[in-house]
Amino acid sequence: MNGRNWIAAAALLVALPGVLRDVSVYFWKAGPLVSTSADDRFAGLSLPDERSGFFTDAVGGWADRRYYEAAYALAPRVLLPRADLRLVVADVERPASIERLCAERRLHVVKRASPGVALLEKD
Amino acid sequence: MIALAALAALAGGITVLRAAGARGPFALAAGAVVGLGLSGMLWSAGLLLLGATGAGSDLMMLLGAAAIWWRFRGGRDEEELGEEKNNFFSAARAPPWLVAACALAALVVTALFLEHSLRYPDGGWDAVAIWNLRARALFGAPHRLADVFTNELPRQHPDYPLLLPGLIAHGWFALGTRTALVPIAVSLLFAAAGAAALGFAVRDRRGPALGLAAALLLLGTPQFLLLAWNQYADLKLAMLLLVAVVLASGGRFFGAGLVAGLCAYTKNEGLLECALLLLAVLLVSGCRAAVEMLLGAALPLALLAYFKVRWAPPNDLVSRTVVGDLVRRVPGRVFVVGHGFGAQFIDFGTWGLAPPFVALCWIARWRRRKRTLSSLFLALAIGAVFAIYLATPNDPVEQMKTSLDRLLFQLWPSIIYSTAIALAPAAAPAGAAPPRSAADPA
Repeated sequence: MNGRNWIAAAALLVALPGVLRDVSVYFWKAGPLVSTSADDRFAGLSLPDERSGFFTDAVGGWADRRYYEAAYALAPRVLLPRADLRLVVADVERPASIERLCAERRLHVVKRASPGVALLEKD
Repeated sequence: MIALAALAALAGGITVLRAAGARGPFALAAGAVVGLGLSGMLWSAGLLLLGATGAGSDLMMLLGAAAIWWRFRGGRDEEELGEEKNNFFSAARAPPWLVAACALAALVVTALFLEHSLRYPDGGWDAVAIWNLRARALFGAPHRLADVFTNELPRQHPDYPLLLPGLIAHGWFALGTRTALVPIAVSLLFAAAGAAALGFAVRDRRGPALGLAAALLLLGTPQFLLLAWNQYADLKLAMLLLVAVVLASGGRFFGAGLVAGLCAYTKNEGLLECALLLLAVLLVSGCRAAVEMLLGAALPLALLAYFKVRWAPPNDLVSRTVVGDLVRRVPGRVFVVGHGFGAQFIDFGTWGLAPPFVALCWIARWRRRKRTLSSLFLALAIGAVFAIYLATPNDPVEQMKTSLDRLLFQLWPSIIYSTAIALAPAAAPAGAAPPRSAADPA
């Protein structure tokens, strides 16, 4: 082997753990191959052309994630992370949070996409 | 319409690369990378300036490609970058075990990309919160740009430039529907064409064995697959920057400027990288070369300036940075930021062993290294990234946790290229004359 081939062999040794790491990620994902999209969670909700609010009972980074997933799924409508607008999209961990929010803010459910996801409107 | 968009991107990119002196497989692979970038830039220019969302940008690109082809047909043969007939490595062959290893790695990485993209078609967090969200807004409300660039969604970074969202939205308009296939295909094309461009760029100057080794090193970097399947802009920027560095290294400054301008129009960091490449060109090749590069970058930089002045709110990091605070906080952060860089060096992008390997190559061959434009640019760029974390108004530890690996990855393909060029000897078979360029002799 010449010098270049030795360098190439060393590069192969260095690249191998990286490729094996990539392969290992496949085995971390449990279960069958199922497609998961934010669009599915918000399917069926449609917003008019106005600013709408967003509510979640999740905290910290999970609240941010749910908010941006809702903004992504419902784009180009602009969602704001507050619940004092005429229309509010709720995406909650505990479905009871929707009923509590409705009672507190005088909202009612317009449409439910799933037990934890709904479009709410001011009474 | 999607066929027209794809044809325009490919023809436009390859024609620009050939006009810049590139030939052979490198021109094809790098042309695909540049063509995608040009397509995103021109479409978003049409939208921002004229409110156009149709195939006009594709037709313009095809006409431009035809005009460039007509202007440069048959010329510059003796100067061509990476041309087969002038390349004394064209007769050399890579060992079969290396070809097999590279093909297997490419196959595994592609299969994993497709599996993950089927499982999570929306991509990762930044794709959902920034790039694809912006693309959806452009597609859904192209004539309400005030809503698209609203600063009511701060995590969306409304000041980020439009190359990637524009490219994705263009794909959706061309198809007539909003499908996850477009951002997935864009990510796959940038990754595949970029890896191929790296391999061919190194092959053209240092032979097929090192070309394959360079591609293998990139494929074996976990961050490469991670950023590809997460549909992040960092991978697109990394590939465009690689092409700009290769062109600048070959003395093709106008082409390098155009592609560096596309980098600036991809992410805010791209503007810094464009400026540093310009500085490296100025220092190594002089004023005339720098002016040539600046002229090449003029169109994307002008569009970026228009976007920033007319539509984008101020960048949050810049607007919160005060010079007085900088002087106070920078000295106390040197160790913390150095520690963050050290951690990336040891474990780049999780399980990445390549940086220590690259560093070892530099140490072992320090005395025989060639002083190249690309290595000067990378030294400047790594220094600039270090300075960003010294200066940030945020907690540098937290910011490094979420961004340092991506910022370093933006430079990674160029680091691999520069390492191969600067450290491996360009020794030709007996009697062959090595190719030369103004920027990187031999």
